[in-house]
Amino acid sequence: MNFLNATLIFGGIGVAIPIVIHLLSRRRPQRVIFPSIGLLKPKASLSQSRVRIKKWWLLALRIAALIFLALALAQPIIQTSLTSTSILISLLVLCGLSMLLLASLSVLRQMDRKLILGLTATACILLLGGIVWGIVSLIAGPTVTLNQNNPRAVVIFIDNGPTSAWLDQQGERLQQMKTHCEAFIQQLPASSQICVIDRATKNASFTIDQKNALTRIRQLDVVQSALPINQQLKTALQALETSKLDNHQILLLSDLTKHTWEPLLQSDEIQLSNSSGKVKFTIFDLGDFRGPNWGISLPRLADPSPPVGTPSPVMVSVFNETTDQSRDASITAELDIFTDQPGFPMARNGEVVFPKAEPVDRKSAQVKKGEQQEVLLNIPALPVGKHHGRIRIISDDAMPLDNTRYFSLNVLPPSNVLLVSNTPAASKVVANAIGVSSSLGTGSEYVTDLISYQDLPIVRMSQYEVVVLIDPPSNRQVNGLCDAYLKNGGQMLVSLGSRITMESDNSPWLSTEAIRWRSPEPGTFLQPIDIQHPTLRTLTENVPWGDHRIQQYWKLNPETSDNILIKYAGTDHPAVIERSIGGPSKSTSAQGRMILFTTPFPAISNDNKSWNQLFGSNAWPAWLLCRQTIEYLSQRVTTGADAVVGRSFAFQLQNEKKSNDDIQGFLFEPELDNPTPILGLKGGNYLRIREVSTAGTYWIRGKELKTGFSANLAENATRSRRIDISLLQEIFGTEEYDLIDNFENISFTETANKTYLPLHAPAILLVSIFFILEQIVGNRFYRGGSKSIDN
Amino acid sequence: MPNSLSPESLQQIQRLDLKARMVIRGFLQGLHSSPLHGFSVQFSEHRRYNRGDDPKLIDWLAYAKTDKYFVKRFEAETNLTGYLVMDLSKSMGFTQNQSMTKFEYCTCLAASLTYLMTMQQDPVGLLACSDQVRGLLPARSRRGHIGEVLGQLNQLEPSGATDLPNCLTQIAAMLKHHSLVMLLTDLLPSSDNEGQPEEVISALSRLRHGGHDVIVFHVLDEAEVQFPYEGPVEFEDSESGQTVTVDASGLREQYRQDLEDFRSKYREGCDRLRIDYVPLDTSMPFDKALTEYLIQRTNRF
Repeated sequence: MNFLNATLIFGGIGVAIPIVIHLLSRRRPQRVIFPSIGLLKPKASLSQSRVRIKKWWLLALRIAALIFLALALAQPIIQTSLTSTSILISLLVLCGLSMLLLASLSVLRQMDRKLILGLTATACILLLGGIVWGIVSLIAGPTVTLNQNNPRAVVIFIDNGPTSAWLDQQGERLQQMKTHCEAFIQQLPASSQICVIDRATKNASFTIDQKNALTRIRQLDVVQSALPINQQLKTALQALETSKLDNHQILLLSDLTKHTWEPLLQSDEIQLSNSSGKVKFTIFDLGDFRGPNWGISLPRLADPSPPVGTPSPVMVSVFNETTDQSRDASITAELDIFTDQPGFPMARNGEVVFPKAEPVDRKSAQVKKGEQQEVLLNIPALPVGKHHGRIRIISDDAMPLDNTRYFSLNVLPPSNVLLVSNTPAASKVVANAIGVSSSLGTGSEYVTDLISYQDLPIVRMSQYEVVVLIDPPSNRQVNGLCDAYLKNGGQMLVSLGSRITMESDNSPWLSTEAIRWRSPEPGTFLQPIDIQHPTLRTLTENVPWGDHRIQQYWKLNPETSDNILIKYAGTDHPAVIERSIGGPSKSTSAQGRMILFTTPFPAISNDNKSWNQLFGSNAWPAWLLCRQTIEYLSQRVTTGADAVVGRSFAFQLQNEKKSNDDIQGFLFEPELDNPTPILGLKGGNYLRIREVSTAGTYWIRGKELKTGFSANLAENATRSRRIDISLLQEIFGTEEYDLIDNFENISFTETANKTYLPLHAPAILLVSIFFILEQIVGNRFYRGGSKSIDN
Repeated sequence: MPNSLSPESLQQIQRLDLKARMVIRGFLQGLHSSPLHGFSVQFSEHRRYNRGDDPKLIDWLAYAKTDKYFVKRFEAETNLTGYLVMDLSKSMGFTQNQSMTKFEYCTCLAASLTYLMTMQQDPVGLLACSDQVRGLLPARSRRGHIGEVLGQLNQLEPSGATDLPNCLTQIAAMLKHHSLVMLLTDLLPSSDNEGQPEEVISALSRLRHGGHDVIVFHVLDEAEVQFPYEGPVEFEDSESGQTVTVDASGLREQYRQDLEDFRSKYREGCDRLRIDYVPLDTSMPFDKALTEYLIQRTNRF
């Protein structure tokens, strides 16, 4: 047994007060001359016994109340191993007290003297037994040692995520955290073990000494690709498990942003595995974000692969997140394009010199506090090739990381498309659908040739990137040409109509048995299935497919390797199928690909008119589908062009000559002084980056290699919204953590011997019970006697 | 009226005759609507003549009319002879709040009754009980008598023990005419063996059998009724000197119950003997006692 406030045990001297009162009250009672004494005599002896018993009980209750009050204030603690013993002792004492109470009642009721003696003796034995047993177990049992200067194992976890770059009046938040940590380390008892981890640490270990820990803290920098906080907390707990010291503490300095903490709240394993209860969490809250902040969202390029000679717009949202003062901000966004300087970037004198960025557009916007505004900037016409740029805000604010966003775009030469149809009008519809840009007078993405099926044999199909067959006939020569084209890696869009006959002598490239299918009135409509497919990227939501009915189509039995993109609503019949033909394993290098429409597309010839109304009035879905399908086949769609900081990224390398030799090149990462060599990769292979660390432009340069990509921080990563502090209880439990905002409040409470049991609460409960009983038994015993008795 | 008749207000008046006059005037003012009849000489009824009736009482006019003998009956016109019997036991000298002892209360009450009866031309006598009866004044109705009674009352002092049953027996033997005996006492037994309720009631029955009307004014101190003591108190008997230590707070309820039983015992005994039993304590106004006296007179006539 031990006491947290041992000096207060001297409060127990207060038991002298009731004893003195008891002795004083033993003086002769006041004498009163009374005529009616005859009425009092019979009850006198009983009354005297009652008075005596009451006095003793009162004295006992008052002494007990004062002793337990002194004990409660001294906050006693015992080893938990003694819990069961203490319960048994309590029961014994309780039985003794009950017996004593019964004995008192027996006296008052003037019961048998033997019974009274028996009860009193049993009570005394039980009470004595309980008290002796208690004293023996406290003396002989394990003791609780309390020493605040014991060395401890401490993990200092600095949340140096992107928001720690926030600048306020006290300076950068990360710098503030470092200062606090240094002060904390000074306070730690000597020979404590310290482990410093941050949002980038993967393997934690204790430092050799305090100096080492201080050095480690000073080296920390803002981490853009921060690891999840729950993973880091587990790392911290694992580090503590390796310590042999008894007292374990985790000091977590964080700004408690939603982006950092919400994933932890939403995860299933919300409670940290601190099952032993040995670890004390101390969370230092850096407080609210104060100061002006405006930033820009991720850029949205109208076309990541624009045609040559065409300016392309880029849209960004500019937001004003100022917290402390209510004012509007005039925010100027500038669009810079990195110049295509030959040989740049290059490593020179141990540094990397990057290409210069030249401003090409600038816009200003008045943004109210807490709002955002769209800003449209124009990328000028650029030559063929990969280009990189950035959009930045020209002003200083508290959070610099959201002021610049990066983008890349790939300017491609126009693609050749061959449109084959016996109905020139149908070919023109398709040509118009894919040639919108040219019709507006700007550079076109496609060069289209329109021919009929009779002319197909005399055309060199291999010079076209995409061949579109509209309502092809069952012609053996055509079949053969198409088969050959596909096997050589050709890309083909085929829409079946009334001219084809599905018979056994069909070509191998269309080796599918089919039935001409009529849908009952009012007809069916298209229902997209593979909504992730690039051909359907803008056609998945709010598209009025039901307005464009389809009455007839070819019911095909798709092959197992076919990818069904669209089916007919209410049926399992495929409407649009993607089929790969040949492959890289064969002698012919490239993979042929065919997208097959099972209904005429467009159906505007006299034979096909009754098949569908896809190109009827308000036919924008069909136009978009047509355009995106050809865009996909001509490989002008670039998906996942920009990387996100903190995530993995795969980038397909294409060397200019498309040779099969190993690529010789370097990856120039932003803010890195040395380029990283690219080893063991061939053209067409993917360069995989496990974790993108910094926002910026990543340049890939080498022999026959001139490409790169851009990386941006996630928009939420730099937002200053904080979680509700009460939610920390869900993570750490109600009693396992201290939340402080000042190091004067830090607690070094022992956690090692948390095997002790505090007896403060039971002692307070007993004091209350004793005082209540004293009031009941007392019944104004010492009060008012002299006032009412007058001689 | 009750305020002016309260013991506290009367205690401020020193002279007993003034006290008595104050009580009676205030009391009569309060009773102006009370039916006070039966004192005057007036015809009541005719009754057939029976043998043994005084022939002087025959109404000859009625005989002339009816040829039968009728006797005229009149409302009685006799005076009421009252005897005030004062208990002189030491316990009567007890007061707890130092305002008015039981004996002073009884004296004041006796003076008031004397005054009232003298005003009605009724003769009043005064007897005192200690270990035996002390006949102090014979019953007279002349005006000067009131002064003598009040003078005697002033001189009386409670001391020693009283043998009440014995005194009452003696009084029953002493009184020749039918009288109204007004006993003013606390009825407390003088010892464990003497003065128990049964003996007192037995003695009272002798008075009744003697043809006397009896009113018992059972006067107790307010403290004896309320028992306002707290905590451990040592009580000493005022007559015997015996002491008893009790927890007064714990015993209060029991004491009150016992006192009520004590009073009930007397009330039942008196009811049985058709004696008026008036329980009083020194905090009660005097009109209650006087009302009892008048009711007694009304019932008598």
